[in-house]
Amino acid sequence: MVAYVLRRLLHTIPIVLVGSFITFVMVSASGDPLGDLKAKQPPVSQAILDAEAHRMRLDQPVLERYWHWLTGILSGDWGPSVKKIDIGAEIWPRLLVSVRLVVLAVLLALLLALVIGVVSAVKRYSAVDYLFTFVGFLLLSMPAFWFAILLKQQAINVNQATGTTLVYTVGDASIPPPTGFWPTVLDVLGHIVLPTIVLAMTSFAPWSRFVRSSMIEVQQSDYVRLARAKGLKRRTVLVRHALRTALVPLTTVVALDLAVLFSGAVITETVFQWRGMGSFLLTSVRDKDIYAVMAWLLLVSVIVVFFNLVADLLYAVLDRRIRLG
Amino acid sequence: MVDLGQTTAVPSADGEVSVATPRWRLVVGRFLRHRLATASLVVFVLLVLLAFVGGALWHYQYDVFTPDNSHPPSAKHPFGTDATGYDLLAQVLRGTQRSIEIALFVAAVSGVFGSVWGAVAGLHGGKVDTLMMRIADLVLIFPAIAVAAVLANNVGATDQGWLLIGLVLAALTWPYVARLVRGLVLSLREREFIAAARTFGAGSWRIIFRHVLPNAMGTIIVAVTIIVAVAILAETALSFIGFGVRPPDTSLGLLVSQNQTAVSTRPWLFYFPGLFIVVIALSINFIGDGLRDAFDNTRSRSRR
Repeated sequence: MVAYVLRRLLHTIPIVLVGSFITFVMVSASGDPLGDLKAKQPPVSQAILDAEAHRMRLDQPVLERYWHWLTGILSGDWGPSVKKIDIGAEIWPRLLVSVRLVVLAVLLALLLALVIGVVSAVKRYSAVDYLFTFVGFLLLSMPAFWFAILLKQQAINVNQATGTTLVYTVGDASIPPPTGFWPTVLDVLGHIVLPTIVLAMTSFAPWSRFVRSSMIEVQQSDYVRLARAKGLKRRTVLVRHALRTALVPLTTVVALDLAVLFSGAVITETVFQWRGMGSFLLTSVRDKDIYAVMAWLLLVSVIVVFFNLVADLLYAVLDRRIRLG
Repeated sequence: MVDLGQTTAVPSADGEVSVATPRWRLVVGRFLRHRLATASLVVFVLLVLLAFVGGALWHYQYDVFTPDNSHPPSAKHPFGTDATGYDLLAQVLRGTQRSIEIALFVAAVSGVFGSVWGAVAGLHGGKVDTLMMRIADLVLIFPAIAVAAVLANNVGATDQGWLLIGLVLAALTWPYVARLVRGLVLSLREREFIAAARTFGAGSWRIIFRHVLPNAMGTIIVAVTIIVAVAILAETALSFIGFGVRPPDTSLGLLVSQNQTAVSTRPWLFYFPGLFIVVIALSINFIGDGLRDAFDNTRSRSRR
């Protein structure tokens, strides 16, 4: 098992490297980082432009720039920024804020997917099943930003009607943050409720459809029929036999959707004006801050690849039939 | 079976015997039995007509403002007007037109490219297959919105911007089609008619285009339909964050973005463009569901 894990880990490294190289070339070709500076009126002197180009490593060929950037990260240097920010210092707290949202949303979406999927499978072709199917399709067709603004507006209405702030509608935490451990936790929770709901509601529908169809398939299998035949309770068979089997492929489905969830988080954070990875990405792309964009893409792709690896390993642990060879 | 338009009941050259009813008629019949999907198809066709024909007939233009500022919906302006005086119906119709154009373009490009990619990978197998699918997987580890924002940052403002946005989105969605088609081809290539075609001396490309892809058509059509819905949502999201369609042109996502602050004061500005996105995406998703049932001849009972 240890050897298998190590081998799989080694396999992911070239994927991340190739991915980072392609995106590096793509981002470098997407625009001139000094475009804004060059367009300035009155014009900036050539000496300053040359110095900036040198600072941004634009005087190096792309291959050399990539190598410089990659080796720099190993020593904690994320590269120069057009806006002269420290990319490393800026991105880590933001990553924490966004990962917090994505993790909570995945948990909520999984809960919804399991409950709705199992209920639809057990009561299939009933009114409940059709209702859940329709709601699933509706949420699948719902633009996250529109849903987020709707929910935000409803929350503002409720807050105004009750004269209190039940849930916060702007930001990821209060500024300045409250003092003490529990007030901070409550503050963060109050801010994260609405974005989590938006992200979970707009992502769970394909998962619940998946749970439903695999539950239906499993229920018709011989060993589930045997378990029922030998007199086990319906609920026991459902949870212990059927759901366990249906859960295994779900891990892969969820891991594959992780990149999509980060896309959703960017949109959701924009609506709720978070200082997370979303606004970092959008301002960096606008400013053509290539190393900042690269830091974003590298971190998120490493997270996605890592969790796909974890899902594969979980798959092997949950389903012993998968050969580790 | 191989040729979708085939109507006679003779065995085709590859040894597959056609059933008495031509396949396309079976598929259409099964699709029409799916009432929700049929209704959705009608809604979608009406929306397309409304956007492309209605937009041209409507007496206000999306980029010419009227003297009426911030009018709520009325007979004169069914969807109301915004603060500058633009007629929202004209803008929504124009946005619907743009969004549908982009989505259909994305689906066509990623459908064709993904199908060929998946078919080549699946048919060749071995190292070629591994390499090709690794490349496809590589695209999927990056959040689409980030890559699309980077790529579309410069192109959105140009005249042909919508085509380039379509290309960007197609570049990010083709791996889904490629994976599906490859999986199907892996099982198809073991079948006798492929082996028969090989013994007749058919080359790889002939086998792919004449034998593999026609048999994968059902799966491809369903996948492409779903991609239309995905592309509508992706394009509107991209326009919402400011990297998609730019003014003076307009798109449904851009309209929601421009009007998001008006949600409590002039709600019609916010609700109409959003509702159009939902209705378009929902109808396409239902059409996809109906097509999936219609093409699925392994399932004896249809859902209704």
